[in-house]
Amino acid sequence: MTEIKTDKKIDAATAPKLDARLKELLASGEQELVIDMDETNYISSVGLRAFVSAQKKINKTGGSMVLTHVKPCILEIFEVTGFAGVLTIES
Amino acid sequence: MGTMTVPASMEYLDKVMAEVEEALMKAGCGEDEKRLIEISVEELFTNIASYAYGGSGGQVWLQWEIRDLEEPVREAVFCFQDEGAPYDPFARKDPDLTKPIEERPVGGLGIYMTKKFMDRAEYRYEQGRNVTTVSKVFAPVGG
Repeated sequence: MTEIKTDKKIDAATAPKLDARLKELLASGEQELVIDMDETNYISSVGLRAFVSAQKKINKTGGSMVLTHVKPCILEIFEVTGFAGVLTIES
Repeated sequence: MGTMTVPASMEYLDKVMAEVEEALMKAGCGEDEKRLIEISVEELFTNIASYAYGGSGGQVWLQWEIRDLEEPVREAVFCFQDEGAPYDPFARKDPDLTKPIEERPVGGLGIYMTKKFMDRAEYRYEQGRNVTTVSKVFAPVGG
């Protein structure tokens, strides 16, 4: 299991780093990801795409990715974009 | 009211966002609305920086205004202009959110968020420029 802590803002500046980290972990064979979003209060589409891309890979290999400590304001964004149902989210 | 002109390049996103954040804070915009407006501005700028000039450079003109509506409500208005090929971002079909994750296109997500988060999202082509205007009403918080 690997836990990642996300930045306060997951925007065009920080999302590429998150995306690269997720890709690197999945490529190394990690099957169990825990994403601690306690600090995060902003996510734009580039950040959502990083999570979706990781989730797609995980669905293929049978692993898991859990987003934990998701703040209500971020949950709202996952819901509006329809990703609340396809990602595993814990507040 | 404020204006800024920057090259249509992602390197300038931080500069744009800093101005937008400051304008919203000064206007007393609360955290929740501020976040949604900022995401929308980021998405629109990213779109222009990524696609408007098809790889060759160009400028982005941004204009914003905080309007006083009926007390105490205010409206934040952001208008982007570019001289790229005519393109209406809001004419694009919304993504189908009922599809399984594997079949869901990830393009168009940012514009979809912008349409959902802002109260108004309008496009027009005028004098050789794409003019994209978004606005959101908010009740100012604090002093």
